[in-house]
Amino acid sequence: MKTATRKPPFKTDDEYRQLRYTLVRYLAWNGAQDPEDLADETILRVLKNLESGEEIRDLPAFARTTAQHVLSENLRRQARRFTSGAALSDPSESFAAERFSRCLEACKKRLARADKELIETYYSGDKGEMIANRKKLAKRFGLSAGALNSRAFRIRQKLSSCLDGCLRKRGGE
Amino acid sequence: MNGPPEDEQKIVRYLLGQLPEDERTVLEQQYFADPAHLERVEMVEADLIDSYLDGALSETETHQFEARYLSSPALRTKAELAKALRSPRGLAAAPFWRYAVAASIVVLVAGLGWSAYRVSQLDTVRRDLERHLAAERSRSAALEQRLSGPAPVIASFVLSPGSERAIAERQRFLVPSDVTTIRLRLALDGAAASAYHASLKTFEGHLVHDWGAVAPRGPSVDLEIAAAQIDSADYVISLGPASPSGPAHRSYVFQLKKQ
Repeated sequence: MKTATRKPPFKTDDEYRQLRYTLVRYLAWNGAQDPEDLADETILRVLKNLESGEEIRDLPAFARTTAQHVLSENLRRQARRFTSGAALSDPSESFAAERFSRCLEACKKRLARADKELIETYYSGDKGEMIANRKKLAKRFGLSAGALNSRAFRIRQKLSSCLDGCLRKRGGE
Repeated sequence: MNGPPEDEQKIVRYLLGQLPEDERTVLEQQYFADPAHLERVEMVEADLIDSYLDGALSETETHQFEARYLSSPALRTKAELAKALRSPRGLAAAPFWRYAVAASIVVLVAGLGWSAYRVSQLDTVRRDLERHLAAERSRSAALEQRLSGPAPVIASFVLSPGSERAIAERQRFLVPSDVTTIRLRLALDGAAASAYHASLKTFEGHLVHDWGAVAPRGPSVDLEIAAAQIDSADYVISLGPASPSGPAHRSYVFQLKKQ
């Protein structure tokens, strides 16, 4: 019996994670209300296409086109749902400050001590103080101004990803 | 931030939904193909959020930012995080150091009676601290108003294109009384052009609002109008060509009822 062999779509887990992350960001920037769900839906469709034997030469480009369709369908579904007169969720209601605070605290606890200290000092003070604080911080950590900015940005991104996950988890509780 | 300023401006326009379709496509292809490009877009996004919190955006950009970032749960979280980072004690609590400054003032005022020689020096320090405190209070109040205060209440509706004659099939929207802004997302059937001309008329043909040239956002065009500007009535949004060689005309018919 012949066994069909097919090249796996993602060479590594990192490749899969990166594509999913890019999809989530793309969908959020294009107005998706729940970009995480739509990113998963997009990946499922890409995998189905691969399983059906379709040759995909440029996986990220194909995923982007698929995400466009998924988003478009999602908008049409919203159109059907909301023609009855109901508004989309009110932003002032949809945001639960308490849940956010709890998640932020939990995410800050997960940071390394040095990262937590860096990010807190980096954003502390008013404009004049902030500049002085950052100079002191760069000196203390032995970083150039650019390297300090990059490090602060990455910690912020880490917090942001952790927050998204926490808010989704707590939102479903 | 690294990278040429014109590139950064392009990314800002993308994030605010103002980049024409062809340029959007190129930018998106770049960040799908290369994680470094994606990181660059995210760095510009972080700076854009900080600029918003600093009150450094123009009025138009502020409006565009709020329409996009404060009404989408996924994007709003990013703005809330940036705000919380500037106030490490959390969203509602006043920054700890503000109390420390206030306490310092008390100590300094008490010190005035301790030595007449020190009075003039302490007065100078106290005035500095008071100025500092007033500036912080003002900044804090502005931030509260922007993110925690009376947030703009936006009602969003999605419209599908239809014939003007099909009034019986028009979409009906109910707008709660506390809504300040109405956002209309017009779904595009078929390929999107780089720009459209959009206007709102009553069913009788009276012009209510003209948005001028608008750029689509993926498979839709987003329009906004102040709730106070429109009453309960039947309306038609015309989405026409922004240039002579532009896309075919589309109509979106709907009935709006205000509570």
